[in-house]
Amino acid sequence: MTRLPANFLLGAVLVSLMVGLAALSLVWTPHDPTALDIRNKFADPSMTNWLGTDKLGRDVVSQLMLGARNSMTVALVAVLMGGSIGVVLGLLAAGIGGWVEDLVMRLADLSFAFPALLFAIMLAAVFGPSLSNAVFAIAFINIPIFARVTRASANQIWTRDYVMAARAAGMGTFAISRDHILPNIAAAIIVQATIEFAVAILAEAALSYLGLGAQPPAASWGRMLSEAQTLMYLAPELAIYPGLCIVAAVLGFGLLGDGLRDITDPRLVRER
Amino acid sequence: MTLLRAEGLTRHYPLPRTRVLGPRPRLTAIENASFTISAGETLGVVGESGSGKSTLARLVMAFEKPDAGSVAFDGKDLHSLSRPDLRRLRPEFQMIFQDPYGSLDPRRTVGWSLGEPLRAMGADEGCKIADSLVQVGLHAEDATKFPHEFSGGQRQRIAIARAIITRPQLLVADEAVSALDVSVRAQILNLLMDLQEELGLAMLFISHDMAVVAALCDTLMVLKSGNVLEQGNAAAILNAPQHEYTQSLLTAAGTP
Amino acid sequence: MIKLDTLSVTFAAGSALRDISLKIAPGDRLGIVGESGSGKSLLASCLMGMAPDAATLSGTLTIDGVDMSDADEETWRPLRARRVAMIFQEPMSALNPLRRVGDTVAEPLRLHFGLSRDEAAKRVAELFAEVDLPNPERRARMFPHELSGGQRQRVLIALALACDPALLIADEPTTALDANVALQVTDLLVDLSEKRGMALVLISHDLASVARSTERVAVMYGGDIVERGGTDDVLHAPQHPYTRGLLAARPDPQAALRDEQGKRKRLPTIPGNVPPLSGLAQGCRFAGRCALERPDCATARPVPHGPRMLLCPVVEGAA
Repeated sequence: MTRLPANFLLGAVLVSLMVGLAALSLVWTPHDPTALDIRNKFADPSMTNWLGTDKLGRDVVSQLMLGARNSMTVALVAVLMGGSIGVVLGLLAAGIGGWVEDLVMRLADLSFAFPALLFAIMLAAVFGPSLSNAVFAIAFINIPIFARVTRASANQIWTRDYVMAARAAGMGTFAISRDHILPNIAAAIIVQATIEFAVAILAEAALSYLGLGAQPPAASWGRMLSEAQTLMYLAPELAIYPGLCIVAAVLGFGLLGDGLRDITDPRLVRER
Repeated sequence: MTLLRAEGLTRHYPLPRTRVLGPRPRLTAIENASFTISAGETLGVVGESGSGKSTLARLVMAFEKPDAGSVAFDGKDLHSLSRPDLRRLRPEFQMIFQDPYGSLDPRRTVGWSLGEPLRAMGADEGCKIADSLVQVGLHAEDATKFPHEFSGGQRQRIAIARAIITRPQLLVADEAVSALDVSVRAQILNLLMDLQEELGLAMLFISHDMAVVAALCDTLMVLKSGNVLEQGNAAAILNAPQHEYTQSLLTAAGTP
Repeated sequence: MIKLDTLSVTFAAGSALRDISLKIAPGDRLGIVGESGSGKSLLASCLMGMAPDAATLSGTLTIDGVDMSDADEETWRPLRARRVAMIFQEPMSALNPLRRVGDTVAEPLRLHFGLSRDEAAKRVAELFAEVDLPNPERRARMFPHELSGGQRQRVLIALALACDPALLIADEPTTALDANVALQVTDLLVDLSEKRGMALVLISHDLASVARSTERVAVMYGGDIVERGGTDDVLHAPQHPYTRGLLAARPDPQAALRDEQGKRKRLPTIPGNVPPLSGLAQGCRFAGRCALERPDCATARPVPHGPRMLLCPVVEGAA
């Protein structure tokens, strides 16, 4: 076994930390994260409140754990949704070619020109701000990204001799895409998904910060950040904790994605 | 009996524009090639890289459409068949490729790859996979292995086993022995001769090596930059090449 | 100039080269013939001091009288390019696609000889002319993708010649080229070797190109040199069963192709496959595939004998 790249290892540690926190919050948090305790507001870190409390006396650690869960869920759902639609579109584009390919790719270009945040604001304006609208918005920006990656890798596989052999055997476009293309581009898609996961976490935090994502009293790193903003001079640590969590999660998934790419891309291995 | 008849096959590929206005330049991959292959007979196509011989293979396999001309297999025009009809006809003409490392899906077992043509035609796999492996000199147990467990020559045998599993009438071989070592190449050429006699296969055998083509072919077609330089009886061309280019290919393939 | 004495290379899986002894004198042209797994490319990398780290070497390798068997990277570096240069099979991947080929060739000139930019450019043009590249100054300004395969290989030959090596090792230099171009490149190598008095080691699986360009030939199988001698002698009167089998397996375009019954003649073949490194016999490596095999061939290590070096206990040696 060759040595794993450092970015992969560091990323894996950070990601397991965050995923672990999120998973733990399902069964246990030190306190009820939404329980108010006004008398105990702005408490310093102590044995009962490890990182203290916020302006309404809610436990910061519990909120951060819930925020992790919220971030992971949003990113997972959004990347899965956007990713699967994008992968299907990319496979269609590469498999059928011709005007289908042109159409899919021009649509992808078009949506790249359309900022995601703007789309989320539009959704919020029409349907009202909510976490699910934020998920849809993030999923939507993932579609063209995955469609592009999928089409590019799939087009490479389509020129392989074993795909030609499958065509010669009389296999149809759908069967070839399922049996040969998808398994052979899976690595590239997983790498992309990991990187997009980081982007999705950041996007969720941004939307919640703007009030377009998680609504009170749901805990979210972005919302914690925006609430702490007004108290920057009074209690700066309340902004620092969720900020650090966002950095750790985004960095973790980003490094993990880069590391996975280094491992799976033989061209990079040779240069390393 | 004529199995395959190609008439006036022509294929151009568009090149990137060199000027904003004006016609798009194009590359002539193959120009006005006509030939026939009778059942059980082998046509050799010789030429160097860029001569259009691989384009010819793709046109005959109906992987792409010609700009002009037609390919008739068993009397049916391949390029005007509907997609389902073409797929139904595909088991009748199969192909083997140059690179034994690229023609088998690395993530699938040998048995899976061999079964693919059968599944495509909805046929029962039965013991055909094992039979086919034995027929090309491998073992029935090899079906559970993955391509990377085999040498180049063995992989080419697997590719041949896949090509003959549907009992085709025509086999298109595009540089099928070029990537192999000399001694392995001889084994594979012999295998092709055996199978041809056993199954009555017709072959379109494409190669850059005159010596290889000579060992296997009844008729011959020499291609250069998309044009047919000469074609006809293989022995006649080999003994008295009409074209200087053919002569130089023969020299290059000469005995040590 | 270069002398190998019982050089052996062993990997964990088995021994990949066994007791290779060779002498290369200035101006020699030696062909090394073998199929995949014969160890011919490994032998070439040993001559360049570039054997893989996982390999264990024994025996001696002398260059200009200096024993290089245990030499480290520091000792090797000045020898490479200046004494021993190498060209490879795939000319495209050996050239940096983002650099003009003239700059690539100029680099060692400026590095090793301290030439100025103009002097180097002038020398590059001379080198390009020497390898028969038409219009050398223009070619020097081109990028690799603008050249044909044969031209790229010529650029690499020019690069190898830049430091006036005493020995040029060509590892399958024409395999990726079309037959006509391959002939020209092989002829160019012979021509350069003669004009410069440069020794040439041509590694190839192609018997025809070795026959055309070398004076002596070593045939390798399974890490052994099984037969070595004058190229004409070996290729026209092969003695080792493997060499015979290899030569017979080449189809002959001029030979009769069908027998009396009108069936196609089969090519003579060597039965079986090249075994993996770990499965090679202790005795003669060709045991198990050989028509002349005796019971003890697989276990008893054959001893080289004969005026033409032959590694087979069954066949009597001849010149």
